[in-house]
Parts: sequence; structure tokens; C-alpha cells
Amino acid sequence: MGLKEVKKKLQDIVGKEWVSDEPVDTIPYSRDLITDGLKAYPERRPDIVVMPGSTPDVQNIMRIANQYQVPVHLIGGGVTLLGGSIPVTGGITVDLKRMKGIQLDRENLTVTVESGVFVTTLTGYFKHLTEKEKIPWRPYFTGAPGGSLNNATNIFQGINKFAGLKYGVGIQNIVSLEIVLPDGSVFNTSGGANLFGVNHWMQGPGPTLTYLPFFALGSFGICTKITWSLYPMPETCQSIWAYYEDFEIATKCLIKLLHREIGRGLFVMPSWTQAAYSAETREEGIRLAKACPKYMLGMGVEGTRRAVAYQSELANRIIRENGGRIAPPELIEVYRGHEQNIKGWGQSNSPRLMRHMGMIMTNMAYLSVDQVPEYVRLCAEGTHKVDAYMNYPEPGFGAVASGPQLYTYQWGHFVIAEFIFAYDHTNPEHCNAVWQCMHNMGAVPWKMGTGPWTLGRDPFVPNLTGNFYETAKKLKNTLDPNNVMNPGIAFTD
Amino acid sequence: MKFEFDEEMWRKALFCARCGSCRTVHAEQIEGLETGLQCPSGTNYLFESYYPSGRSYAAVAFKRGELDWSDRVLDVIYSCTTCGFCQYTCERTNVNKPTDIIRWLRSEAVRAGVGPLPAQRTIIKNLEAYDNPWGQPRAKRTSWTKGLNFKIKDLSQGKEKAEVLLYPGCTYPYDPKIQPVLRYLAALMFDAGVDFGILGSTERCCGSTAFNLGYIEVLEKYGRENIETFHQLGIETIVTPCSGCLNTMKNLYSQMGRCTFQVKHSVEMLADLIREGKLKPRYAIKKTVTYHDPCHLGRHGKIFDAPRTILKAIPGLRFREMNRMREYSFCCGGGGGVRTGKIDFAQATAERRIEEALDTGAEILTTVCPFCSQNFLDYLERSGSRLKFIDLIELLHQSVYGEEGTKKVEGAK
Repeated sequence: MGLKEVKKKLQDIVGKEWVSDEPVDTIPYSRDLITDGLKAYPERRPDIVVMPGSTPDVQNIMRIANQYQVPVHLIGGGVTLLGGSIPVTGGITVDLKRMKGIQLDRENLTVTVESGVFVTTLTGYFKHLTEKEKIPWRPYFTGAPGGSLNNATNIFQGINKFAGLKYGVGIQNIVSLEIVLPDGSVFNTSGGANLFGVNHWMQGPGPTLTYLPFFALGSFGICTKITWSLYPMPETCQSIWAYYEDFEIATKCLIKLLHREIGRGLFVMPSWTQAAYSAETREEGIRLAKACPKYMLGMGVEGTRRAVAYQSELANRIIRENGGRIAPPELIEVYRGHEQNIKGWGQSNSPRLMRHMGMIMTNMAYLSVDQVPEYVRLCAEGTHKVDAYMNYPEPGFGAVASGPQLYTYQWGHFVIAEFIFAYDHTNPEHCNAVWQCMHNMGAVPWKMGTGPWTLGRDPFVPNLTGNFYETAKKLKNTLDPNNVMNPGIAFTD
Repeated sequence: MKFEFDEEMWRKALFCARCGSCRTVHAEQIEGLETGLQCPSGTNYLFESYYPSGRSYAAVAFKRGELDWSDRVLDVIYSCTTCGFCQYTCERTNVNKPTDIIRWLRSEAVRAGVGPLPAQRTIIKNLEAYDNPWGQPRAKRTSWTKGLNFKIKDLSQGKEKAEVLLYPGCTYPYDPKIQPVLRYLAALMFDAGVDFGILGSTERCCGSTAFNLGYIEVLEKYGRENIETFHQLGIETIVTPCSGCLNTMKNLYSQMGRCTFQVKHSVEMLADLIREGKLKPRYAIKKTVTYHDPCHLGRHGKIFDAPRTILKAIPGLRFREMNRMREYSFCCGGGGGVRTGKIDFAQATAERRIEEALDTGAEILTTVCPFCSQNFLDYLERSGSRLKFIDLIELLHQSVYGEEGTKKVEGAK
């Protein structure tokens, strides 16, 4: 009885055509990479799919959900791979694809987008502005190309951690959010300082609420609008790529570059990952992966032409003096996605993410630079354990491959570290091996500081995080006493 | 002919990771406002079920016995224009064939007696009665030849022989709005010295429309009959202006048995004639023109350069590419039976494409597919858009003979 009534009320809010409980419409929301391969979540259909067209629609949906105590799950661009949108408790799936507004504030240099705007659409929007109106400004954001910018699939999962190379991670470039809370009320995180209706002050008078939904996996509310800062495009930019046989030597070089404050977005990762990202076809990927040494260091240099020339020369020298081999320009060509990202054009964390295989990044840790050697040591242990489970003659292709990787996104002095697995997600043996390894590697984030992203992913992590998880739960219970907002995703118990 | 998907393909469909490659042109390839909106039906209906990944999941559920036929299921599977973008991107790396999965679902719907959509059923009745999808008399198939100042050989009886069979297909000859294109094409071929003929009123449908609706047996019937006819008459080269016929005869007939003939689209032949100096575009067309890659010619037929060669050969013409082009072109909305079954959706998709064309600053939109032409013309007529549609063959004719020459041929009847 309840769900029929809920459906009718939802139809009254958004119109009949935007509500469905037909199996053919609910089945596609029931699964993705993480249900199929790792079986980290059970395959589960929503009972009803609803597509709001505006923030008031979302508010009314939340009011209905609360009234009938029906769980609400979220989906944006529909390219979720990692379970954040699986309606593990059934109920209503709110699909935000109808909300496509983009509003440019030319005076304050911000752009506000609704939750259904795709990553590629906003990229295209700014390309259009540059070409037609000669506006050399960009927001810095990223995500899977078809992903939407600000809902369960991105903000709430934290994919926007991969973002602007110059201006920090994605969430640091957001100046305000519009959030619909579980009770249906709406607030703007810059509202406290927003006397004149301009969304450009992320802190408000305090407490700062803009960061509240990040990494919370949609547990605290639905983000309906996001406002990004705009930054000038650099005059020029360049990618520098170097190869290493040893992870430890590569990370030492990375730290030297960090200490000299050269380049943006430095990272060290297993070379096969970039081969997989960059290749046009599976075969090309295998060829590239086999041709690559074991680890690679990548970085971007941008600014005026003179500054780029000077920094490139310096970076090349440091790399060479520290055991690296600079990649030839023709090879760099296949990594052009990286340069697009530096320029603010590509807006994606990899040219062809996830097209060849299942891939999962796990056990994330935020490290200070002085912790990196310890992380390297732990990864060496972890890799040893991984090797016990896996055997990869062709890294990343038809077999499981894995490796540690480090990212930095600003000047200095912290590093995001994580362990990456690539595997055939259709192969149960591979999935089991990855799952076992993730458990074995659990010691790494525990010792190095746990990234919140892992909170909802690895069931063993909440036990390792002391009162952090308990405090987050208290906040959740206050905002969402009926636990209707994405239950079972971030707060798995 | 069957959709014999191997286990690997079904496994990939089952494990579709919903990576989004099927709905997005990556920024690395093309950047633009529209590049995240690459699936026509997903873009229009927005529910996940209308995207290729959703249909793959539905096919798997159907195969597992977890999904029954319903009006909504039919709407989902017949709202695909079979533009093939999803298959182009997914097949290369993930093995999955979303467009073929949709065709498989349609063939299952027909087998179960529930498909296609009511409006589309007239197509199959018309084919049974008239050998063309539009219910037109066979005798009218050659009405476009009347008034031409030269005679076209009739190859149907085997008495006359020619090097090339011109196969106009069913759509150009019967739609007065686009029928003159055949006269322009024939005139160009004749003057360039191409030895060609037609099958006249004995020509039958290639089977493309039936195939796209799920009537595999009907395609097989037409395929068998046509292949036999072509072999009996000793046809070595078939030239068609229809992108649907091209795709069917080039890619599907070859799966049905040995074909000793080659199939070319008319633009391939015309581009060759220009290169060989047998056609000389000399009259300037001082207009800005953009070109729409038809899905069946481009992604399915892999012909991208020939139409561009023709456009670039026309003096005075300013050619502007649309943002989404070649392999990443967006559909016109008219394919896959959608124009017959769901005209509103077809027109909404045409509108999206025409906005993209307008964005280039073009005065003229051109293409070389009868379905695209019909769909664009209908939208432009309804909307009163400033954009003018002219078929590429007509543009070439204008440039070879001047506007007056073209008018004479257009009104030849």
C-alpha cells in the first residue's frame, strides 16, 4: 500500500512521466562494477525511480520519503562504477539527470551548476565561452567524463579529489553548495555570508558547512547546486614523464621535486595504469604496458612560456640526477589527457578511464611528506602479500595487476597514497583475490591515517578509526533521524 | 542469419560496468557542450533504461527470465535509433555490442508477437504487399527517371548490360521532397561516362527497415533474393545513394553468403570521379556549409572522407565541421524505425543536431542519407529555421552545372 501511495505522491510532484516502478526502468539502477565483480554490495533494484527537475522537486521528494520512511538513494550521470548509487535497501532512487542548469557569474568569477550537469558538458561550456566570447577562465574539477558534477557519484563519493593541478583538489575550488537535507529543508553553505545572494564565500560566518557532504556518500543530504571558483588559463603548459624500476627511488625523486616546489600535480604510479588509460584498444594497452618500465613519475608545469621553460629544465635535471629516465616526446603524446587537465580543458583524471578492465583504488591514506618512506615500506610488505595471491604475466590485462601510487595536487606537502588494483571484474577468482588483498592491505591506511573515502567502501575500516566514525554517526542521526538518506552506503552498520 | 553472441559477449553484457563510454565522447577526442549527450534515446528520455547499459542489463534480465514483455519494455527497446555510437566505443575495448543487443531484443519481441510498435507494423505489411516499406506501387519506383534527357539502361531482364547497377533504394524514389536527388545523381553519372543501369520496377527493398525492427527472417528473404538477382545478372558493382541500403548490402549480405559484387555509396563513386577529372565542379557556391555524417554511412559503413572530398572540391564553398563529427557524429534521430514509430523523439533529436549545425555558422546543412534528409527537412519546415537543407549530391550538381542546370534537372518531370 505504502509504495503505491508514495508513487502517486511523487507523480504529483514531478509529473507522471518522470516516475517509474517498471522493472525495465528499475533494473538498470540495481548494479554496477562493484556489485557484479567484487560483490561488495548486493544487486538490488529500487522500488521507484524519480527524476526531479528542480530543487523544490527534490525538497518535496525528501518530505515524502521522510513521511513514509522510505529510503532514498541517488544517481547523477549514471556512470557510477563503485556502488555509491546502488539502492542497497530498495526504496526510491532519485535520478538527477534532469537538473542541467549552468549559471555563470562573470563579476565574481564563479559558475554554479545543477546536479545533473555532466563533466563533459561543463568542459564544453567553457570551451564554448572561450571560443565565442574569449573568456580565458576555467573551473577546476574532474571526474568520469559522463559523470555528473555534484551528487552521489562525485561530491559525495569524493571523486573530485582528482582535480585542478594548480589550484588544489576539487573540493578546495568549491565556494558553496546548495543542499537539500533529509527533512526537505534546503540551505546554501555560503548563506551565512550571503547577504546579496552571491555564492562566493565558502566559510560563511562559521561553522563551515561546505565540506559537510564530501565523502559522506550522500548520507547527509542531496547536493542540488554547486558553485565553483574560476581561474585563469595558463599561457602554456607541459607534461614531464619519467620512468623508474623502483618505487622507492621514484618517491624519493618526487619528494625532492616537492621540496623545490617545482611542477603541479606530481604523482608516482605503476606504469601499466597509464598504459591502460592511454591505449585506444586492449591490444595497444598490452603493448604499451609491456614496453613500460615498472613505475612512472608524472608532473605538469604551467605558467608563462619563460617560467615553463625554466621549470622544465630544472625538473628534468632533478629527475635525471635521481635515477629517472625522461620519457621521449612521442610517448608523451599518448598522455595528452594529462596536459589537457593542466590547461583545464580535459577535466578528467585519465584519458580513457576504466575502459579495459575493472579497476579499484583502495586503502587511501593522506600522508605528510615525511611519512612517505614508511608508506613505501608498508606497500612493499603489502605488495608481497598481494603477490602471494596474484600472478600477472600481462599487467592489467586478463589478470590482476596492482601497485601503490602517490598523488600530490598542490605546492608541497601532503600526498594522497593508495593502492590500485586492476582485474577482470567478470572473473570471480580475480574478484576474490582483490577482496582478500584489500583486507590484507588494511594495515596501511590504519597506520598512515585513513582517508574518509574508504569509510564506506571497506567494511573493516570503521573499526580502525576510533571515535571519528562514531561522531560522524551522531551527526547523521541528528540530520537524518529516520535514516532515509542513502542508508547502508557510508554508514554500513 | 542470427545474433549468435558468444558467451564472452553475454558475460560482458552481464558485467557492463556502466563506465559511460557508450554515452560520452571523451574530452580528449572532442570537447563540447553536447559530448556527454551522445546517446539519442538516453538524452531524450533520461531514464537509465534508455541508455545502452540499461538495455544491456534489460537483455540479461530478459535472458534470465527476470523481465517480461510490457509496453514500457517495447518503448525502451524501440526508442533506439541504432546509431551505433555505443557499439563503436564499447566493442573496441569491452567486447560488448550494445547495438546488436538491441537488435537481438527486437528480434525476440517480434518472435514473441509483441513487437514492433503499432505504427511500425505498417512497414512490414507494406513490404509484404509492395516490396517497399512505404506502401507505394512498384511501378512508381522508376517515376524519377521521367524527363531525363538520356535513357538509363534497364538491367532487370539481363538483356542490357552495364558496369554499375544504380540501386536507389525505397526512400529516395517515393518521397517527392528528396526524389530529385536521384535525377542529379544519374545526370552526374551519365555525364561522367559511367556505364550504369537500374533494375526498374523489379527492384526490391534491401531489407534494412525490416532488420532494424527485428524481422530478421524478412531481411534474410530480401537478402537471398537480391543476392541471387545480382549474381544472375552478373552485377559486379552496386552504387546506392542510400546509406541504409549500403550498410545492409555491404555488412549484412556478406554474412548471408558469398557475394561476388562490391557495394559503394554514391559519394564514394562521385569523389573518385572528381579525383579522376571526370567531374569538374566549376560553379562557385559561395555559402557556408556543414556536413552531417549519417550513422549508416559513417559509423556503420566507415565512409567519412568521400563526402568531405566532394565538399572541398566545390569552389567558393566554406566548409565548417560540426563539433561532433565522423565516428563521434550525433544521430539525426531518423534511424532504427524511430521516425516511423516515435516521430516526436525523432524530431527532438533532429532539433539537437540542427542546433549543433547552426552553431557552426552554416547557412546550409548537407548530408547523403534519405532518412536523415527527411528528418531534417521535416524539422526545418516545422521550425522555420534559417538553416537550409540541401543534399550533397544536389550541391555537387549545382557546382558542376550551375544553379540553372540543376533547376532544369529538378523539374525534369
